[in-house]
Amino acid sequence: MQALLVVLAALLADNFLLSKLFGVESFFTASEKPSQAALYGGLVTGVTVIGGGLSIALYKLVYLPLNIAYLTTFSTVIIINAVICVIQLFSSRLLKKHINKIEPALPMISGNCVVLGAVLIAVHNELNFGLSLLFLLGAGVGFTIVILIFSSVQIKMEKAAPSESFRGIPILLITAALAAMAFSGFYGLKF
Amino acid sequence: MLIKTRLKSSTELSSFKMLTVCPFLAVTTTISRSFAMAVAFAFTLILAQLIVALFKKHIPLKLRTLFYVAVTAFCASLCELLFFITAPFVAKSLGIYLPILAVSCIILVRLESTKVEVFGGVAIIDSLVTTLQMFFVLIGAAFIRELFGNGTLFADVYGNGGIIVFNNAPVPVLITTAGVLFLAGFAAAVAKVIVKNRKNSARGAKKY
Repeated sequence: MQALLVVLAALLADNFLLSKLFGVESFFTASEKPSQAALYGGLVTGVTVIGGGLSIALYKLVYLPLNIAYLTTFSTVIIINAVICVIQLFSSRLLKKHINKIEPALPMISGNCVVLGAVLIAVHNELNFGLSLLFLLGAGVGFTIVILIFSSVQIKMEKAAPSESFRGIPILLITAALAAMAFSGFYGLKF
Repeated sequence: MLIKTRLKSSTELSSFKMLTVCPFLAVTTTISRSFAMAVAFAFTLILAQLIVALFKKHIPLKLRTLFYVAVTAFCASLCELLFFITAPFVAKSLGIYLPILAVSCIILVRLESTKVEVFGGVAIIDSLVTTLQMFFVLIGAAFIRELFGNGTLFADVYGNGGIIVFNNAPVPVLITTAGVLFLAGFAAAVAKVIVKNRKNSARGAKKY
């Protein structure tokens, strides 16, 4: 039951984009086409689960026993970038057809707050390792859902033709505000 | 003065191309909280830019991005530790948004453009300019959010105390996450108009 609540909270109530405002810039950089948004969201979810899992394991096995928890932020950033490098290496060898799509998205992930934020919140809430992994997965999937929604919104927005000063980023931010209001309805779902 | 601050902040919002807005939008609930965040940002940026200016020559081109990321993470961790030692009350209120500076895109972009001249003298001026812009944006946004969303001014980091301007907050939605996105949207629209007018006036000046 607690596992379900953790996933639901990360997906909806504590949605990283709309409730915590992590990675808001992804609205403008990654969500031009739904396929591109799905790829970016998938990569972020992958990096969050793999990099975040490694960081939390390091925190639980090394930092807590030695009482050096202040190194968590530094090591998490380094691990995230190492995971991104490994993904880049693998995709350049194994997925040669899709490398043109994957490669430009990778540097954006290292500047995305979702991955580091999810790890730090899991550490801060003192979740056990299994629940932390579920939380990381929920955070990544929640991020992907919102990015996908906004890529579709962006396509509709082009046809709607708002006034010139609101075209582009401003109208997207106001749409995001309305979506954030809608997502605040899930506020009761807390673990 | 209010309009001036607002206009300046909105111009900066557009000029930054909306980089790293996440932690900065989230902390602007009170002026004191956003001031603390701005100080943390200033510390991290200036220290990181100084380190990069001193060592950039010796780092191979391929490893530079990793070097920038490592330096930013180091400086952000140091900043977090210093905050917890000197002002634990403030550090706790900033919470998760303080270590998030470690993946701040603005800092990484500024580090990329750092010039290795006069032992980091130029780098420090550059980072001071960026910091001042950030101060304008953060304090401007926090002023509007606190005044109209909370009805107070200069409350502490948790939103208690301060000068009570309105007994009932006129626009309470401004203090929520949705409110800050609304504010950022309107600010970005105003910035767009200003930039467009400037371009038009520049063209007009060229014609005559």
